[in-house]
Amino acid sequence: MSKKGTEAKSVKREVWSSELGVILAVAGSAVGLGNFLRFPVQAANNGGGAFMIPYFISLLLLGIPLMWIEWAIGRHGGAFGHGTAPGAFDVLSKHRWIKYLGVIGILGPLIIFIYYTYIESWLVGYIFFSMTGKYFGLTSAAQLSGFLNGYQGVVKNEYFSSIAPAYIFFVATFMANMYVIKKGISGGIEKLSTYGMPLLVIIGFVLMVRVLFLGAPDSAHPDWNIWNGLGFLWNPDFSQLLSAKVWMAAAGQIFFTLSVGIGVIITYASYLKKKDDIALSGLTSVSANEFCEVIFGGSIVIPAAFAFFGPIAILGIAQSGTFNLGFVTMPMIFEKIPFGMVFATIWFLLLFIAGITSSVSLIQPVMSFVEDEFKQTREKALRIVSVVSFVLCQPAIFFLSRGVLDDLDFWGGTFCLVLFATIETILFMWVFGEKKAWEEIHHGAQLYVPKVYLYIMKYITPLFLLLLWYFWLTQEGLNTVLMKNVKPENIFYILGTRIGLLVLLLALVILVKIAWERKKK
Amino acid sequence: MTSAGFILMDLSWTAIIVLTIYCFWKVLRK
Repeated sequence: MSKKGTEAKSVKREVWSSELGVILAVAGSAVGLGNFLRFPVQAANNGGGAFMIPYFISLLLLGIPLMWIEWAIGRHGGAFGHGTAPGAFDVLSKHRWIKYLGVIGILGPLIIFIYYTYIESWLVGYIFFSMTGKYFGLTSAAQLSGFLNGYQGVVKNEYFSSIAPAYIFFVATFMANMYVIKKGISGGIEKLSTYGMPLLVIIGFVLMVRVLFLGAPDSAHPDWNIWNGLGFLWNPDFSQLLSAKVWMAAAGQIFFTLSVGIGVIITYASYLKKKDDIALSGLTSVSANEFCEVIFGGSIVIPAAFAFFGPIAILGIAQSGTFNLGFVTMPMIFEKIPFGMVFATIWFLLLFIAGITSSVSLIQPVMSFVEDEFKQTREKALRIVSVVSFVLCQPAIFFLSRGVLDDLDFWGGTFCLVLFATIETILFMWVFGEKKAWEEIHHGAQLYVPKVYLYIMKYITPLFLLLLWYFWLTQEGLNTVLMKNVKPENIFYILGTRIGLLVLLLALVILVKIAWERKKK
Repeated sequence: MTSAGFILMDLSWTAIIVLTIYCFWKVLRK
């Protein structure tokens, strides 16, 4: 027997060691920075409490169905030894070309991983700076923005003369991710989530209680208080429900918060046993994500910022973007409260846990692809994946000021997600077939999914996705695709990024072709 | 916060807490 043959036989697919472990891993993948920074801003800017009506409708018609579809495709593919979308799609249909559509389910998470890890490393840096009090004393938004930009290497200033500190933290973060992956599914990802997610909930609870007990911190402005801060987020403006923009914002938030449409849930679910439940597990991971998003995410950043900066400034803060909220506004608040260094440290630790449980899920599909389709051992797959992904991370780091990270976020974090979700829904419900799909979801189920969901998954979810495409393309997507908002001096870098992504896509298509041809032999 | 805002927050929190407790209870009782 050839060496290759021996190696192929020696590779055995792992399984999760417990049902709770896989639920926490999927919840860890879903709970990210967006839960704490994006959700409250979206709610506050899109009708306040009224936003929750389209939000919950989107959860029921889009988020939960997509979650079940991905869990089902993943477990089904895993039974055939496939941990990624090309293989999982291939066993859903007789059409040979369908496996190539699954390439999006590897490309998407890889693109997100190559910039997300850098953002995650800022959190490690800020944990260190919070513990040492490095930015304490910088009290204005301009100073703290300067500190952040200096750290990112966007400018050289009095705080940082080079990108070296950020790069050191990036390498440490990247290595931490690879260490978890090296330990495997149950020994690495499951263990990280089993300890990380409860810790995240404890920290979220501590921060929420601290914020809710802030009262009115400025005695000169008694109306600048937490109660009114919660009101800024929750007071409904029902007239906004007539705006399609608000409905699309809610659908978009549900889409991005649950980590559906990326491909990572397919990979995670592929490590289930055939008899394992997916209906209850999928719903439980959704509920855990929503708990972190609506309860913790809605009770920390915006109410605290309102209480400290008042009703006028909060309007600007809510529009200032995710990074500004996390790295500028929150540090300003922590500087104003007793034991601020401690709370700042645990704030960035909270975001880091949310980040690393997501980033390991983003690189695992690439690992599974190499392991399953090329029959490589985990050690060898890790060597290949770590070298390739480390190289791919570099443009996002060194050309951050040129908009490369934003462009990667657009393609990986938006475009691929919506495209992949549309493909998998149509493939599972229409090509694989509704009867087999329904049986697959209920195989080993500990929860009976109401029959109405069969029709929702077949008709409503695809329609919702097509509407999302339409509004997204007409509102912002097309302008971004055509680089209408790109500064002239950055066009070269954005174009370079897109050519690079096309090469990556082509390379993955070729790798799928090679893998399947090797299997025929 | 207005009473409408409070009711919406209360309903949202209650729905999510009930769903989370129900799901985890079903998973953990096995």
